[in-house]
Amino acid sequence: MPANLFDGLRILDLTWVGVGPFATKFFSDHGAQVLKIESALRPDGLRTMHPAAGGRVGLNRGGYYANRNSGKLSLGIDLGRAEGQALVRALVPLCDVVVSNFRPGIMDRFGLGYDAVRALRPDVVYACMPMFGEQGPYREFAGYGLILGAMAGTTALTSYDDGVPQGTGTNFSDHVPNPVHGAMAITAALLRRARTGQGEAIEISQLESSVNFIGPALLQAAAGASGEPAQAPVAPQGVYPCRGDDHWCAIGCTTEAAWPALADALDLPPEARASHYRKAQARRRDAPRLDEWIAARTRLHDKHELAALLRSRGVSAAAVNDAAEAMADPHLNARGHWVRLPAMEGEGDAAYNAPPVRYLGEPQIPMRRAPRLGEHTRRICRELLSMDDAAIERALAAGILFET
Amino acid sequence: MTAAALPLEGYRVLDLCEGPRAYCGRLLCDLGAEVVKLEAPGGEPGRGQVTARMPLAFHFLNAGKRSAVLDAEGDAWPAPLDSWLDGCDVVLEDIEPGSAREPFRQALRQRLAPDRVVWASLTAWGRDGPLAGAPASDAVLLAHSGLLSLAGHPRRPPLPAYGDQAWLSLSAFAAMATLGALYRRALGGGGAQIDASAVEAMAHSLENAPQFVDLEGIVRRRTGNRTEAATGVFPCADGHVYLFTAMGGTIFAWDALVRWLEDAGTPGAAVLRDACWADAVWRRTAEAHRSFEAVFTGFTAGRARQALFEEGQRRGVIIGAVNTPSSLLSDPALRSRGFFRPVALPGWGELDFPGSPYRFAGVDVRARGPAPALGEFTTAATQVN
Repeated sequence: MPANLFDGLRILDLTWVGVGPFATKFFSDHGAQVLKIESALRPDGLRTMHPAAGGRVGLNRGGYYANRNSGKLSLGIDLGRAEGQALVRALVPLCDVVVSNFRPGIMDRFGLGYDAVRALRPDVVYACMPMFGEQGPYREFAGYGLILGAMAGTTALTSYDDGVPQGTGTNFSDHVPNPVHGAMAITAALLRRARTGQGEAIEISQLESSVNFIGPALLQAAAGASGEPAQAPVAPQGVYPCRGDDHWCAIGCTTEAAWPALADALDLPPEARASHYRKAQARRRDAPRLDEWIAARTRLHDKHELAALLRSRGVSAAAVNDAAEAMADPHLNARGHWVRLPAMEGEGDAAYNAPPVRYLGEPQIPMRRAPRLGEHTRRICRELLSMDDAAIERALAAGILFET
Repeated sequence: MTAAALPLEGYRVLDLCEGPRAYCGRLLCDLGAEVVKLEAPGGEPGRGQVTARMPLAFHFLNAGKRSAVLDAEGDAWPAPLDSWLDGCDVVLEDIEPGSAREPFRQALRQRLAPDRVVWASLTAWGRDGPLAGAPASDAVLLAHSGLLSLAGHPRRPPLPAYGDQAWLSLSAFAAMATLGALYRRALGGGGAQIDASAVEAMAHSLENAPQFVDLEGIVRRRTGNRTEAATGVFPCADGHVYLFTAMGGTIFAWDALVRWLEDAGTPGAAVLRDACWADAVWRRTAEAHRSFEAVFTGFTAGRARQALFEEGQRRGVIIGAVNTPSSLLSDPALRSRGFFRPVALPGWGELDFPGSPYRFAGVDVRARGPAPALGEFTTAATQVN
């Protein structure tokens, strides 16, 4: 009986950079053996970017790379060489899942298209994650995640009153919608295979996956309806200035009792207690005036103290934490969200995010750090490809294999 | 189970989630599960007025589900629901610790077989920790997690993302975790108890900000809609485009961009051939911002968003359209790929429903119908009572 979710599962992981590695991390964090194929000639761009250990970049110092690739095994292979492609194809029969996020056509060029892979492993779950889909008028277009938020609608919808698109400030599509939908699809296909014995070919178009996170807005546009929600909105709600430079508190009156509690806690002017403000609609209509009253008071408070005070009165509130404050936050630490694991190379350790979902009442599988490039080349070649040491040395010397 | 069946065909999911957290059950429903939404007699708040047509957001979040009404104050489960529960595989609930619904949650846990059921709790802060059970809204979760600090103009307040991203993220992570547990169960494992928290889903989405703090002592701040002079949002004739030319000190496709502007006879384009544009540090100065904006917006002002996107991409420029929901409805790629699937929504007519986030070659994953009428699963039982 399996203990971890994916004990015994093996994944051939040809993903890189943002969305793909975050999807395969779900499997590596829960017991699967994830074989990450990497080339030293074209390493994953995140490996060599800042932030880097000690502020010095290198192949095995990238913090963003590390956080996305916990628990995976790195196999350094030059996929540009026929011999390298042959080695990867030799791994296919041993793998349950083959996943990539290359541009359309690249996997075919490596001899790893779906038909080729299925010939080697008939029940394979084969997943690709192209930006705009394998087919369609944009299939040749550059697939950088940075433009995806704009293409998928969230940038336009996130704006101040002036309507100028602002966006979320991060490549949000790479962090939630796409990797999570991707991991879901692979797991669903594996579940179906457990029941039927059949594999599957899955396409997760990053654009199509991302727009589902603005699904209600799309339906409203289809209906020609306005964007106003039908149910009682949170009112008032906003991000209000607190004491000090660039310190803020987010507040939201999510219940009927919250508004009077907020008025009381902040000692708002008597007009705030007018009876018509018991209705959310009236509060929303007068939002600018209410916001002025609130901001005039919040300015006097430290953001953390204010959030704690309002929470104690039943009002939804939180300080706008920066990353350092989030990492020091008592609640997130009590939840075990921040995990320290050894650095990929050298001394010291590094901060990782724990998975945001846990399984209670069962042993928590310990997270493992991300791999150095080619760290497991020799081991995989010996254990899975039955190569002897001499053959491995020859392949390393010829630049077909890499290790660091 | 036939080979053409959906992955979750035959699975039963009891879904207590309200509002945006209903997205979790929606995802499982599209994958083939029978999802019964359990509601109080007045219906969940997302329905709005029960007598009016259902809000579109409610349709999106609950497409294809059934609806059962249970008066939690009452004694017994209505007959059809009671026997259905015997075969229940998954429970999705959003009952915050310490809430008035906790006794009901306990009663439900006793009703079901713990060694078989995959039980997913979708809460704001998690089931334990100092803030468990504290009030929460989407923006508050974005704030506490650190994500809100990265969004918005540097000299204006931090700007919460549109559209309940914290709650939707929580829902998607919970669906992923539920599928993982069902996979394990299919291979001989037992049930599972899943604790999913929205604040952690958001803290998990801080990009490289935690590592900038940890490895380099740098706290990332919000930069607005341009990260440097030539990367970000720029206006055009009918909206905006997103241009990407630099990240982390590396410049991308600069020559292609300059050539595009020169070929169009753009005034001032020659300035962009200057050596200073290879300097990532200079590109962050106010002077660089002004200089590039003057040239580029001179080019884009008279051109449409979609044309700029397609022509730029064909020339090797990394550019995207800043799409609105309306422009997405007519996007050539989404249309030619048949992404939108018509669904008849009572009171609204047949509407283009967004397609699934993923396509399976062997089966058709899609929204399976409109959101359910209140209590349609238990109507017969309530009439008898």
